Amino acid sequence: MKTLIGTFDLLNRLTGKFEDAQLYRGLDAKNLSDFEQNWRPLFEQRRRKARPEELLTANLQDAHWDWTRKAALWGNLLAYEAFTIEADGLTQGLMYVNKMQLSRVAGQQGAPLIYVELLATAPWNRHGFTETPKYKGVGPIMIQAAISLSIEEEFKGRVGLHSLPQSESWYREVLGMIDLGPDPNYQNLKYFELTAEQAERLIK
Amino acid sequence: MTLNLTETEMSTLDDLSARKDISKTAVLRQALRLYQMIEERLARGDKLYFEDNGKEKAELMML
Repeated sequence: MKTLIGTFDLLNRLTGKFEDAQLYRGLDAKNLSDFEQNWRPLFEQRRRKARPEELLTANLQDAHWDWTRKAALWGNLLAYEAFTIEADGLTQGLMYVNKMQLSRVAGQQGAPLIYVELLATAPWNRHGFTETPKYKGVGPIMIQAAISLSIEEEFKGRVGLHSLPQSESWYREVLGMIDLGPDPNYQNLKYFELTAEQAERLIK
Repeated sequence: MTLNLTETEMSTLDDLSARKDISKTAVLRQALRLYQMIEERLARGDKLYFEDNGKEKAELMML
Protein backbone atom coordinates (compact mmCIF):
# COMPACT_ATOMS: atom_id res chain seq x y z
CA MET A 1 0.00 0.00 0.00
CA LYS A 2 1.25 3.48 -0.90
CA THR A 3 0.29 6.48 1.24
CA LEU A 4 1.13 10.13 0.80
CA ILE A 5 3.35 11.51 3.58
CA GLY A 6 3.42 15.07 2.29
CA THR A 7 4.48 17.58 -0.33
CA PHE A 8 8.05 18.91 -0.32
CA ASP A 9 10.11 21.25 -2.49
CA LEU A 10 12.57 20.06 -5.11
CA LEU A 11 14.75 22.64 -6.81
CA ASN A 12 14.48 22.45 -10.59
CA ARG A 13 18.04 23.37 -11.55
CA LEU A 14 17.00 24.03 -15.14
CA THR A 15 14.50 26.76 -14.25
CA GLY A 16 15.93 27.78 -10.86
CA LYS A 17 12.45 27.39 -9.35
CA PHE A 18 11.14 25.12 -6.64
CA GLU A 19 8.51 22.55 -7.63
CA ASP A 20 6.16 20.41 -5.57
CA ALA A 21 7.22 16.83 -5.01
CA GLN A 22 5.19 14.15 -3.26
CA LEU A 23 6.82 11.83 -0.76
CA TYR A 24 5.07 8.48 -0.38
CA ARG A 25 5.45 5.63 2.02
CA GLY A 26 5.32 2.53 -0.16
CA LEU A 27 5.93 1.76 -3.79
CA ASP A 28 3.41 0.76 -6.45
CA ALA A 29 3.14 -0.38 -10.06
CA LYS A 30 3.51 3.23 -11.33
CA ASN A 31 6.93 3.59 -9.65
CA LEU A 32 8.16 0.24 -10.97
CA SER A 33 6.86 1.13 -14.42
CA ASP A 34 8.74 4.47 -14.23
CA PHE A 35 11.87 2.56 -13.27
CA GLU A 36 11.51 0.03 -16.10
CA GLN A 37 10.38 2.51 -18.78
CA ASN A 38 12.36 5.60 -17.86
CA TRP A 39 15.25 4.90 -15.50
CA ARG A 40 16.55 1.56 -16.75
CA PRO A 41 16.78 2.45 -20.48
CA LEU A 42 18.73 5.61 -19.62
CA PHE A 43 21.14 3.67 -17.42
CA GLU A 44 21.70 1.10 -20.14
CA GLN A 45 22.11 3.68 -22.87
CA ARG A 46 24.60 5.69 -20.79
CA ARG A 47 26.55 2.58 -19.84
CA ARG A 48 26.84 1.56 -23.49
CA LYS A 49 28.01 5.02 -24.55
CA ALA A 50 30.39 5.66 -21.63
CA ARG A 51 34.11 5.37 -22.23
CA PRO A 52 35.81 3.08 -19.67
CA GLU A 53 37.22 6.04 -17.72
CA GLU A 54 33.72 7.58 -17.59
CA LEU A 55 32.13 4.63 -15.79
CA LEU A 56 33.41 5.96 -12.48
CA THR A 57 32.38 9.57 -13.02
CA ALA A 58 29.05 8.99 -14.76
CA ASN A 59 27.24 8.29 -11.49
CA LEU A 60 26.30 4.80 -12.63
CA GLN A 61 27.40 2.73 -9.66
CA ASP A 62 23.83 1.71 -8.80
CA ALA A 63 22.70 1.18 -12.40
CA HIS A 64 22.50 -2.57 -11.84
CA TRP A 65 20.04 -2.29 -8.92
CA ASP A 66 16.89 -4.10 -9.92
CA TRP A 67 14.10 -2.32 -8.08
CA THR A 68 11.44 -4.58 -9.59
CA ARG A 69 13.17 -7.65 -8.21
CA LYS A 70 13.73 -6.02 -4.83
CA ALA A 71 10.04 -5.08 -4.63
CA ALA A 72 9.09 -8.70 -5.35
CA LEU A 73 11.51 -9.95 -2.66
CA TRP A 74 10.82 -7.39 0.06
CA GLY A 75 7.34 -6.08 -0.72
CA ASN A 76 5.51 -8.41 1.66
CA LEU A 77 8.04 -8.44 4.47
CA LEU A 78 7.31 -6.39 7.60
CA ALA A 79 11.04 -5.73 8.05
CA TYR A 80 11.26 -3.60 4.89
CA GLU A 81 9.64 -0.38 3.81
CA ALA A 82 9.82 1.56 0.58
CA PHE A 83 9.64 5.31 0.07
CA THR A 84 9.13 7.11 -3.22
CA ILE A 85 9.30 10.71 -4.41
CA GLU A 86 7.27 11.85 -7.40
CA ALA A 87 7.37 15.15 -9.26
CA ASP A 88 6.46 16.25 -12.74
CA GLY A 89 4.48 13.01 -13.17
CA LEU A 90 7.53 10.79 -12.73
CA THR A 91 9.32 8.88 -9.97
CA GLN A 92 12.27 11.03 -8.94
CA GLY A 93 13.59 8.93 -6.07
CA LEU A 94 13.33 5.43 -4.61
CA MET A 95 14.43 4.08 -1.23
CA TYR A 96 14.16 0.77 0.59
CA VAL A 97 14.88 0.58 4.32
CA ASN A 98 15.27 -2.33 6.71
CA LYS A 99 14.03 -2.06 10.30
CA MET A 100 15.93 -5.07 11.66
CA GLN A 101 19.51 -3.79 11.78
CA LEU A 102 21.52 -2.75 14.83
CA SER A 103 23.88 0.12 15.55
CA ARG A 104 27.65 -0.40 15.31
CA VAL A 105 28.68 2.88 16.91
CA ALA A 106 30.46 2.59 20.26
CA GLY A 107 28.16 3.61 23.08
CA GLN A 108 24.98 2.63 21.25
CA GLN A 109 26.10 -0.70 19.81
CA GLY A 110 23.21 -3.15 19.46
CA ALA A 111 20.53 -0.47 19.52
CA PRO A 112 17.99 -0.82 16.71
CA LEU A 113 18.19 1.54 13.76
CA ILE A 114 16.76 2.13 10.31
CA TYR A 115 19.18 0.75 7.74
CA VAL A 116 18.99 2.23 4.24
CA GLU A 117 19.30 -0.73 1.89
CA LEU A 118 18.94 1.19 -1.37
CA LEU A 119 18.57 4.89 -2.14
CA ALA A 120 18.61 6.35 -5.62
CA THR A 121 17.64 9.48 -7.47
CA ALA A 122 16.43 9.32 -11.07
CA PRO A 123 19.27 9.30 -13.62
CA TRP A 124 18.29 12.70 -15.08
CA ASN A 125 18.88 14.29 -11.64
CA ARG A 126 22.52 13.21 -11.41
CA HIS A 127 25.69 15.18 -11.86
CA GLY A 128 28.08 13.22 -14.02
CA PHE A 129 25.26 11.28 -15.62
CA THR A 130 24.03 14.33 -17.46
CA GLU A 131 25.46 17.79 -17.96
CA THR A 132 22.10 19.30 -17.02
CA PRO A 133 20.79 17.47 -13.95
CA LYS A 134 17.18 18.39 -13.22
CA TYR A 135 15.99 18.11 -9.62
CA LYS A 136 18.08 18.76 -6.52
CA GLY A 137 16.95 17.59 -3.09
CA VAL A 138 15.80 13.98 -3.49
CA GLY A 139 18.51 12.55 -1.19
CA PRO A 140 17.90 14.93 1.73
CA ILE A 141 14.12 14.29 1.64
CA MET A 142 14.70 10.53 1.68
CA ILE A 143 17.18 10.72 4.57
CA GLN A 144 14.70 12.91 6.44
CA ALA A 145 12.06 10.21 5.82
CA ALA A 146 14.44 7.55 7.20
CA ILE A 147 15.08 9.66 10.33
CA SER A 148 11.33 10.24 10.83
CA LEU A 149 10.66 6.52 10.48
CA SER A 150 13.44 5.82 12.98
CA ILE A 151 11.78 8.16 15.48
CA GLU A 152 8.35 6.63 14.82
CA GLU A 153 9.80 3.14 15.43
CA GLU A 154 11.34 4.37 18.73
CA PHE A 155 14.86 4.07 17.29
CA LYS A 156 15.53 7.73 18.22
CA GLY A 157 16.52 8.84 14.74
CA ARG A 158 19.39 6.37 14.33
CA VAL A 159 20.08 5.54 10.67
CA GLY A 160 22.78 3.36 9.11
CA LEU A 161 23.87 2.65 5.54
CA HIS A 162 26.64 1.44 3.27
CA SER A 163 27.60 4.12 0.79
CA LEU A 164 28.59 3.79 -2.82
CA PRO A 165 31.89 5.63 -3.43
CA GLN A 166 30.01 8.31 -5.43
CA SER A 167 28.00 9.32 -2.33
CA GLU A 168 30.53 8.97 0.50
CA SER A 169 31.41 12.67 0.77
CA TRP A 170 27.72 13.64 0.89
CA TYR A 171 27.01 11.33 3.84
CA ARG A 172 30.19 12.34 5.66
CA GLU A 173 30.47 16.04 4.95
CA VAL A 174 26.92 17.21 4.26
CA LEU A 175 24.97 14.99 6.68
CA GLY A 176 27.81 14.60 9.17
CA MET A 177 27.31 10.84 9.52
CA ILE A 178 29.98 8.82 11.33
CA ASP A 179 32.29 7.04 8.89
CA LEU A 180 33.02 3.58 10.31
CA GLY A 181 35.24 2.66 7.38
CA PRO A 182 35.15 -0.09 4.77
CA ASP A 183 33.07 -3.15 5.67
CA PRO A 184 34.83 -6.36 4.54
CA ASN A 185 31.51 -8.18 4.82
CA TYR A 186 29.83 -5.78 2.38
CA GLN A 187 31.98 -5.42 -0.75
CA ASN A 188 34.28 -3.15 1.26
CA LEU A 189 31.78 -0.31 0.96
CA LYS A 190 32.11 2.25 3.71
CA TYR A 191 29.54 2.02 6.51
CA PHE A 192 28.03 5.23 7.88
CA GLU A 193 25.80 5.89 10.84
CA LEU A 194 23.74 8.77 12.12
CA THR A 195 23.43 8.80 15.91
CA ALA A 196 20.34 9.93 17.81
CA GLU A 197 22.06 13.23 18.66
CA GLN A 198 23.07 13.88 15.04
CA ALA A 199 19.57 13.03 13.83
CA GLU A 200 18.06 15.47 16.31
CA ARG A 201 20.34 18.24 15.03
CA LEU A 202 19.49 17.44 11.40
CA ILE A 203 15.72 17.60 11.81
CA LYS A 204 15.75 20.85 13.81
CA MET B 1 -6.41 -7.96 21.18
CA THR B 2 -5.24 -9.23 24.56
CA LEU B 3 -1.83 -10.79 24.88
CA ASN B 4 -1.51 -13.41 27.58
CA LEU B 5 2.04 -14.00 28.74
CA THR B 6 3.49 -16.05 31.58
CA GLU B 7 5.52 -14.33 34.25
CA THR B 8 8.76 -15.54 32.66
CA GLU B 9 7.70 -14.37 29.19
CA MET B 10 6.69 -11.00 30.61
CA SER B 11 10.00 -10.70 32.40
CA THR B 12 11.85 -11.48 29.14
CA LEU B 13 9.80 -8.83 27.37
CA ASP B 14 10.62 -6.32 30.12
CA ASP B 15 14.29 -7.20 29.87
CA LEU B 16 14.42 -6.82 26.05
CA SER B 17 12.50 -3.56 26.27
CA ALA B 18 15.04 -2.18 28.76
CA ARG B 19 18.06 -3.55 26.89
CA LYS B 20 16.98 -2.14 23.52
CA ASP B 21 15.51 1.03 25.02
CA ILE B 22 12.22 0.61 23.16
CA SER B 23 8.67 -0.05 24.40
CA LYS B 24 7.26 -3.54 24.78
CA THR B 25 5.05 -2.91 21.75
CA ALA B 26 8.15 -2.06 19.69
CA VAL B 27 9.89 -5.23 20.91
CA LEU B 28 6.92 -7.34 19.80
CA ARG B 29 6.87 -5.58 16.41
CA GLN B 30 10.57 -6.39 15.94
CA ALA B 31 9.95 -10.00 16.99
CA LEU B 32 7.12 -10.34 14.47
CA ARG B 33 9.27 -8.89 11.67
CA LEU B 34 12.09 -11.28 12.49
CA TYR B 35 9.77 -14.29 12.75
CA GLN B 36 8.15 -13.49 9.40
CA MET B 37 11.51 -12.97 7.69
CA ILE B 38 12.87 -16.28 9.00
CA GLU B 39 9.71 -18.11 7.98
CA GLU B 40 9.94 -16.67 4.45
CA ARG B 41 13.58 -17.68 4.05
CA LEU B 42 12.98 -21.18 5.39
CA ALA B 43 9.98 -21.57 3.08
CA ARG B 44 12.33 -20.76 0.17
CA GLY B 45 14.61 -23.59 1.28
CA ASP B 46 17.23 -21.41 3.00
CA LYS B 47 18.85 -22.48 6.27
CA LEU B 48 19.42 -20.41 9.39
CA TYR B 49 22.85 -20.54 11.07
CA PHE B 50 24.50 -18.99 14.07
CA GLU B 51 28.27 -18.43 13.90
CA ASP B 52 30.40 -18.26 17.05
CA ASN B 53 33.64 -16.31 17.48
CA GLY B 54 35.66 -19.26 16.24
CA LYS B 55 33.59 -19.12 13.02
CA GLU B 56 31.91 -22.42 13.90
CA LYS B 57 28.48 -22.56 12.33
CA ALA B 58 25.49 -24.22 13.95
CA GLU B 59 22.22 -24.64 12.15
CA LEU B 60 19.19 -23.41 14.06
CA MET B 61 16.22 -25.71 13.81
CA MET B 62 12.90 -23.92 13.50
CA LEU B 63 9.74 -25.69 14.57
